[in-house]
Amino acid sequence: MLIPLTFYLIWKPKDAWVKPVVIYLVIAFVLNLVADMIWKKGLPFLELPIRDAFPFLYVPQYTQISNNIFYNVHSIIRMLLFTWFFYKLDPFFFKKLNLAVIPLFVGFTIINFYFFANIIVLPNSALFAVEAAFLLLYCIVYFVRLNKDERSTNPFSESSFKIVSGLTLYNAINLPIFIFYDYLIISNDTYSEDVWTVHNITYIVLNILIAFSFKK
Amino acid sequence: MNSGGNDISFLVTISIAVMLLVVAGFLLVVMMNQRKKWFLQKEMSGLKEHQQNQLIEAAVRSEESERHRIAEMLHDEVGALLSSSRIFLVEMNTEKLTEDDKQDHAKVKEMIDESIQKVRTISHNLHSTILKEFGLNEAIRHFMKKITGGTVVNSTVELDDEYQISNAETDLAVYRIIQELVNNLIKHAHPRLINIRSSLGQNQLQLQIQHNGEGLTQDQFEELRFKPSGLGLKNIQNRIILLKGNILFTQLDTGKYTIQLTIPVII
Repeated sequence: MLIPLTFYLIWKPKDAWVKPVVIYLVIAFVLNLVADMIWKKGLPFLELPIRDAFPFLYVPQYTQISNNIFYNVHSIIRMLLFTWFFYKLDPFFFKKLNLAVIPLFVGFTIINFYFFANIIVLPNSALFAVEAAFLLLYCIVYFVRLNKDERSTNPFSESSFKIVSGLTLYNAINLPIFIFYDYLIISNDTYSEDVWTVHNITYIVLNILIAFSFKK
Repeated sequence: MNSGGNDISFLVTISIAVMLLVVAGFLLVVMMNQRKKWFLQKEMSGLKEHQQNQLIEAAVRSEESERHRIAEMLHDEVGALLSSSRIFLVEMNTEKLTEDDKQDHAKVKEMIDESIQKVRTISHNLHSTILKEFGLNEAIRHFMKKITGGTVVNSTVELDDEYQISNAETDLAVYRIIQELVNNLIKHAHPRLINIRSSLGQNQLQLQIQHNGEGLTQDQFEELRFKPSGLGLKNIQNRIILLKGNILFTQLDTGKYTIQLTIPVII
């Protein structure tokens, strides 16, 4: 995330869609930084201050504070900010989709965490999968819109095309990982770690494409 | 590791591979489609531009042929009539006329002479024989001498004599642009000094008009040429498009204005 943020500061793009993307990058950077700092007591001196400040993060069965809430919050924020991003790309085209998808996603999140999952204990596979599926739907709608548009420009010079391509790649490849991640953690720990590397690579690709999209 | 875990690992691996292939294929198809559309669009805009240039060319040609026709009619018909009238007037016996009538006769003769001169000037302006016979440089020199002679405007002309006729149509278009620009300057900018310079570069003729009047900047030119009243500027722009040239209006630090014309020419 530092790569696209640095490129943003260098090129300072002024397009309408930049705002939600930059807000996402800043929030994601902070969330990931905090999550990494408290990951498996990565920084032991932070354990007690964080536990005192945010007692709800303490999971007794792990006998340590959990960073999983940050991944879950990250997923919710990513979904909402990218729906805003798509709306900024073409308000007329994405307004109806937003009106249908956002209430569905918010409803699902509330029901999921109220009845079925604990937002603090584990990264929620269902939340990630639903988020990926919805964002994939947005990406497909974007490409359909692009295909219908008579006034098409060179796709390689189109900034939004780069972001949406990155987003499609990230969500499509990670969708099966998110769907089965709960099972993978239980049944095959080595494989789940390996497969998470695939997630990280696609996330880096997404960030590189976001960085390039800032170039005019 | 149990067999259930293995099955899920296998399923996830296969799903990732399939998704990767589907996404790569999908993006490739979208990109190819977009590129195809983009090239088609470029081709279309090229055709549109070509068609527009053809229209401009036709308009300019018809304007030139109309100028030619009017110039011929003025010279051959009105000019001839005036000359005949002058002959009759000169041959008239004025001895029996009173002093007042003699004065009137002289005045009429003077007016006919002036009319003949004016018709000739208009006819030459409409269709320059000097341009045809002696080329662009001589036509510009002659035009500047004529238009600023007897006025408060001083003009200097420094033209590159290496430039010879490259193409009669190019020369005519450049001459018309200079004519229109200088006429506009005298009419609107009220300069005291106009300097025209030319230099021949590599397949390029650079013409510069510098003056100390109230000139135009590039932005003002762009704004004015789209106004209905800016027909002259529109004609200039049309001829520039036709010549595939460039026109640039700038104000110098000294307060003077320059109009820079760049015209591609075949030597």
